[in-house]
Amino acid sequence: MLYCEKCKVYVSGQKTVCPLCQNELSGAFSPEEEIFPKLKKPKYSGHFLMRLITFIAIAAAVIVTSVDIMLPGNVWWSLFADAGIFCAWLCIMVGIAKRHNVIKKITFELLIVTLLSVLWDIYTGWHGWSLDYVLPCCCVAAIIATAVLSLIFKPQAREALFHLVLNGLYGIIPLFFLFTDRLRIIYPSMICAAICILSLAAVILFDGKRIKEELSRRLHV
Amino acid sequence: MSEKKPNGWRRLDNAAKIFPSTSEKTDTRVFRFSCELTEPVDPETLQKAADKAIKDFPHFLSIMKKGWFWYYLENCDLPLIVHEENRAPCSQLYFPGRKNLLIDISYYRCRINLEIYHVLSDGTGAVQFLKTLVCCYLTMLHGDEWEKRPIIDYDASRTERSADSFQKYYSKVKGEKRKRVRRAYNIKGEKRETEDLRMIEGITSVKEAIAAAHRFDTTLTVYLTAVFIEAIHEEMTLRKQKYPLVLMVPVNLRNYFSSETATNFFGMIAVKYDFKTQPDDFSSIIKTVSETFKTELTKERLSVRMNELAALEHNPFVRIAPLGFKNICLKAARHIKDYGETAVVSNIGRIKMPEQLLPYIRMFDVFVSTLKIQLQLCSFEDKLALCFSSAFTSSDIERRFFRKLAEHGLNIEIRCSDIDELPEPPEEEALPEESGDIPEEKLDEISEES
Ligand SMILES: [Zn+2]
Repeated sequence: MLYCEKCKVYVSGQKTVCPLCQNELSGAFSPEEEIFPKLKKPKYSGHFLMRLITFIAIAAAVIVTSVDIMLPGNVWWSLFADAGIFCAWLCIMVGIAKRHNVIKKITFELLIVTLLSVLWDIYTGWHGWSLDYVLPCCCVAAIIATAVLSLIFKPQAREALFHLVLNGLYGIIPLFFLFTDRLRIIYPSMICAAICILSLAAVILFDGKRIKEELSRRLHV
Repeated sequence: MSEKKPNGWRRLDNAAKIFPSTSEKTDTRVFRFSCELTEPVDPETLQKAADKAIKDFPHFLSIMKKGWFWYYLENCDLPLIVHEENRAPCSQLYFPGRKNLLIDISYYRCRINLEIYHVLSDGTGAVQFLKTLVCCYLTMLHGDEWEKRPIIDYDASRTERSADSFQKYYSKVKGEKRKRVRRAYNIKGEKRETEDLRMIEGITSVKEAIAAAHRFDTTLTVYLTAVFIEAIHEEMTLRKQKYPLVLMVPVNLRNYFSSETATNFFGMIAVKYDFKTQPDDFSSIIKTVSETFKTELTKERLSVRMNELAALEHNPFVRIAPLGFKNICLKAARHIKDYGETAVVSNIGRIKMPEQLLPYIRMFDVFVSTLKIQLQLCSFEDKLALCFSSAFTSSDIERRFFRKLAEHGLNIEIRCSDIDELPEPPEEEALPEESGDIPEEKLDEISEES
């Protein structure tokens, strides 16, 4: 065992200097006394991918904007490109942040994609395509995906069930636009609402107990 | 019986409610108990022992999930896999959104390490589990040599083990105004760059330490706390001495309120010492510490403090606040509270094991994650482990602490996790050892495959 003359303490393990005062040690060390393994520093830094994608997005936006400024013409087309880059970046970020839970990811992406498309529609002169097509189609896609995932990942069936209910409720929103006459084409919204109501009814009637249980744990105060 | 439901869930206990929101870079809210045996650990037996021991503590097999208002624990059937130590002590165990256990068992040479996320349990619960694990392990290896099977003295049903004792003893306190947090001395110093803490532990003899304490006419805990206060004091600049030094001491409430729970059940008391108004000689420090312990460690005082803590959870406005908002508030509250604290001293006390196992166990020790510096005490037979975990780069407080003990006549053995500043050990020493290791591992792989 090693000994520090200054601190008057024994030091075990493989040390070159005293851990307390950083002075020379006397005696011989034995590596067997080491109580902690020598570990390599982990190189992986958790959010590296996120930072990389963010940097790429910023770079793309900067390049596009500066090209737009340099080129002659008086249409600010780069604004659309920047907005598009931002939307893509947001969707990817959410995807990475929720990568450990695919089912949750679907619900989040549904929310983001539909909201962004409504915004796009508004700022490009309201043609109504976001409410006519995007919202109902995304809802149906999300519901189908969640239902399929619940069959594949059996252990997460309860989680899927909960998100199925959330998506189902979200999918009834087109019905509101339908009745307030904001739609130009009603078929997608009607089909979406029908599917949502049917799936909600099925889930509640056949799995009501599990839904109730899941709600009680998620909403306990 | 309700324990066995595969998808059962539980609320976090009162003390645990603040941990998830306030887990941070170095303060992962993970603590590690280790048991050092006299012979190298056999991984396969340890795995079997872990499978057996966890059956007595089924609520440790849980994952934590986010609800809309609170976090909650969900039973799960993930396997508890024993592995060789491959991460820094007290590394993160809870990763938001990921499905993984909040408990980890690893081994390195003669040591068995148990790491637990504080949400699951406090020190007492963890010790109970580690004792059970070690007992299972040693019985599997040496059981035939004994006449009588060793029995761990822990008589509690499974529901008792997972019960929240804070709820049981909660009574509403009459609106005593909460005192404003007074700023305490905060240790200044460079924080470590890496996310792992530095652990330094000193091992000494219980008898020698008690003898030293008796020379100052006091008990072991008071004596060591006083030495710690003095060590911090010597690192304080004169200008900073206007702030009082405040040591927080976790108290095991099971000793004051009858409970057998293996979840959290502890309270905190504060030991204050003001060098501006109080003399700075050692005997005065001892006197103050011992008086504080005497006045604070009564059932009445502790239940007041406990109810103050629980009041937060019973406040209707807090309860209906969404989780994200709660997290922000609790984090802020924690930083304010941190201003009122200098360091933590946590006494785990004596760990007793059945007689048959004593020849195979060398000692126990414990490390806790922290943002500052924290001292843990725990003893086994005649071995007293004084374990420092620290988020600072400098080890001056530890040095002063151990030098003081050495001055008082204690023989101390220092062990520590690696300090990054140190030069790498010479290559020649490491090589033969490694080359000896590799074939053995290969052999194991081959035998496993066949
Ligand atoms: Zn030294």
